[in-house]
Amino acid sequence: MNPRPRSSSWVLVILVGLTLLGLALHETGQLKPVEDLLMLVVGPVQRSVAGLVGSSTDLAQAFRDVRELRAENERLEDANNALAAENIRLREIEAENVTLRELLQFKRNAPNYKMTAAEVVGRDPSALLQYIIVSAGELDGIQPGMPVVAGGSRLVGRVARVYPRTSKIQLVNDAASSVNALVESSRATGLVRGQPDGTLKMDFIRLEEKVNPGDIILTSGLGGNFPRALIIGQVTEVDKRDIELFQSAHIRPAVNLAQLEIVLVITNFEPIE
Amino acid sequence: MSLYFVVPFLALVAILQTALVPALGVGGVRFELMLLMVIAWSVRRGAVEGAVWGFCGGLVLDLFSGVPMGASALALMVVAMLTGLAQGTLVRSRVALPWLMAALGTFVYHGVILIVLSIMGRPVDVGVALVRQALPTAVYNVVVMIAVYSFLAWVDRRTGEPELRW
Repeated sequence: MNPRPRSSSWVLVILVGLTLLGLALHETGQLKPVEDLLMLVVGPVQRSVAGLVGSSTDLAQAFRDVRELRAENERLEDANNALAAENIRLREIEAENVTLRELLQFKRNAPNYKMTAAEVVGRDPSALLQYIIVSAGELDGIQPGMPVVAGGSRLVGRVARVYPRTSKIQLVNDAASSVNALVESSRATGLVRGQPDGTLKMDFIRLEEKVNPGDIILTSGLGGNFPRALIIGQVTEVDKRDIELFQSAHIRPAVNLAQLEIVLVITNFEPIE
Repeated sequence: MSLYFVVPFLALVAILQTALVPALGVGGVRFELMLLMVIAWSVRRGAVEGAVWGFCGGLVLDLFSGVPMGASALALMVVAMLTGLAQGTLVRSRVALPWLMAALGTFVYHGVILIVLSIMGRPVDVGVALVRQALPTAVYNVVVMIAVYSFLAWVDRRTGEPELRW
């Protein structure tokens, strides 16, 4: 007779019995104090372990999220950069479009003028002078003395020197520039001259003539250096003293001379030197 | 440094000064790249090399300017000579000299051009030119000199030749 299987059987029977007893006690609620005691000990450990597991799961998830977010961020940054570049390009096109429309409008309004458009490619390196360099030259039919305008028949200056493919333009606000002008409303005449600080002033306006801030100043055509009726600017301030023979007016140029991009050279106007 | 390199390099500087520098202006004030280059090179390599730079650079600059041809070249050579003179006598420190000359040199440069313009019969207002134009430009030049001098010091170390080769 082998005693081993018999003792094993007894152990199994006891364990099954205990289990069934436990089930029964649990069902009747008799086991609750024991369960509570065990949970009191095990609970915190379980929470800690659960916490650790949760954290590690969250960490793994976080790593995955970060990786995905990074990739997403890169994609969005690329898209953002592309859109920003596109936006800048469209704004540039829009600005150019406005300029070209103005130039075209002027060309339509003044069909008698033959004009060559030129891009501003440089500015005078010296702050003491007001010159620009444009992308049209002798080969484009440009000659010294030709008037230069921006859109809306606004006077920019005149061609000072010509090279084969570029020209140097003396702006109307250069200290050595002078243009015969008149006040649009009162027809008072005078001489618009650039000032050393880059501003414009109309001198030699007779004292009895009416000039007021806001008046438009046009080229008079006198002297034959510029066509008549080009807009030079607007009066901002009048200097008038009764003891002097003439009054003068400060002029704001009709075009922002510091931000010119495209200009028109009137090529069929022959200045009288 | 060989003149074959100097001339195209200074032409590039002149182009940058007319095409790029105006876009970097602050309130209408622009720095003067060629002037700063000439001063910095004079500090590094002496008045003679600086004057050669001033001559070549000034002539190229005058091509783009309304000033009479040679005016900028003359003004830059004067500044280069003064820098060499200051280095030998007034200022021993190579550290302070570029900035000092960036400030003083701006007034000298503008002053010489004003004299030339005045001689040529052009209307000039010395007060406006020096106070409203040269003064803010001098401040801007001093700031930009940091970058220009660092760059030319690097070029000088790279080229490392004692004399200008013709």
